[in-house]
Amino acid sequence: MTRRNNYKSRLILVGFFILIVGLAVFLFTPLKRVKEEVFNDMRLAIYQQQINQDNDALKNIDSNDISSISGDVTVEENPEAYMYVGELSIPSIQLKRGFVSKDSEYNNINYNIQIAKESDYPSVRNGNFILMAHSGDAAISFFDSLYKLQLGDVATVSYQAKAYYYRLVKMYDVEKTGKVAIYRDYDKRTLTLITCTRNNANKQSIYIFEETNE
Amino acid sequence: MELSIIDKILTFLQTIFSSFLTIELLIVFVVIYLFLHFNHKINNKKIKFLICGLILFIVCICFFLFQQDIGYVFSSIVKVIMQCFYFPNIIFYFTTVLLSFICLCWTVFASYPKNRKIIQYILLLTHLYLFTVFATICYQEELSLINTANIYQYDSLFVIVQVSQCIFILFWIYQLSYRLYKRFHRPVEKK
Repeated sequence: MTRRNNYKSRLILVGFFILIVGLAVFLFTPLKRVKEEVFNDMRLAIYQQQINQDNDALKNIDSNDISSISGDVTVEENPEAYMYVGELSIPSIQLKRGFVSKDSEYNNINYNIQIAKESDYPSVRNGNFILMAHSGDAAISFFDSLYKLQLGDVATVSYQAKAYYYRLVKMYDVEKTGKVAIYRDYDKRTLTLITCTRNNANKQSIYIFEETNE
Repeated sequence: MELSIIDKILTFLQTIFSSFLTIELLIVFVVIYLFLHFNHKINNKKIKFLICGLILFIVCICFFLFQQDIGYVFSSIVKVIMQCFYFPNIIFYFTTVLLSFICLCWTVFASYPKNRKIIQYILLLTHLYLFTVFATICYQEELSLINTANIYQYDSLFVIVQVSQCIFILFWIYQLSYRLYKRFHRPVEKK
């Protein structure tokens, strides 16, 4: 009788263990995604904190330590550090994600929203700020909701303590050939978002935003 | 927000009877309670299973009807738990340390087996030690602990808190495992 009880209790333990392992396998991707979100939020908070610190330094013009005060507010760009230098926000699809500097080793779509090599920074006059990211169900699919965008939607890029406002003016798909044609107004500052087209493995979608003052 | 007690009671009652759905839910839960109450005397196993099945059925229906909202709520809860693990704010971190301290005092006076005591001493003292290191670094760097971003911009503090949280969780996993082992393990009686 006791042996039977022992067998039963061991069976319960094994069942419990299998249940835990099964749940872990099943929840791995959603949990990884949430973890990405948590880390993104903290990096954004740290980025914001640094901007605030620099702003405080600028405001403190009566201070004796004038040498530490510079004209521009910039977040220190260290290629080895995983630190955000700016933030992309699209309220209509609840996207809020930071980006690192172009030289950073984390400026890669496997970690982050990537700034294209050919891209200008948002501060460049009439420049084109190009961002790329995965879409799909993976934890690093930061542009998974871009397909919900509609013409006229607003995006905000925060860079060097300045906010740049853009409005979506054009959306189109192109074949995946390794090159992308960007059709934009060269007299305006633009933001270009590139990601894979939803439910089409051979195409990628391009979203062109133009700067707006609203 | 600025409600008197009478207003709060009235609002509460109004909310409960505000729609057909809320009244329906109230009736369902009252019926479940009545079943459980009367079954307490009869102690019928079938009714117990029936009640559990009914509750599960209601939960499943809620999941089916509001799956998007429930998914969002679950995701938010998991996010908060992860925040507490990876980037706990100072109040949460201090609470875990306080718990560790209480557990340590309890272990000192409790009559646990020697091995259990040793494992608990190691885990709890490591946790407390890491907190002291954390506090020392914060003091040296003159950090304001109110803003969590202020703390976690330092990799050293992030790592210390991370290890600390892991040890704290390990301690509770050990507690749970030990209790489960004690609950299910029966020594084989010699004939």
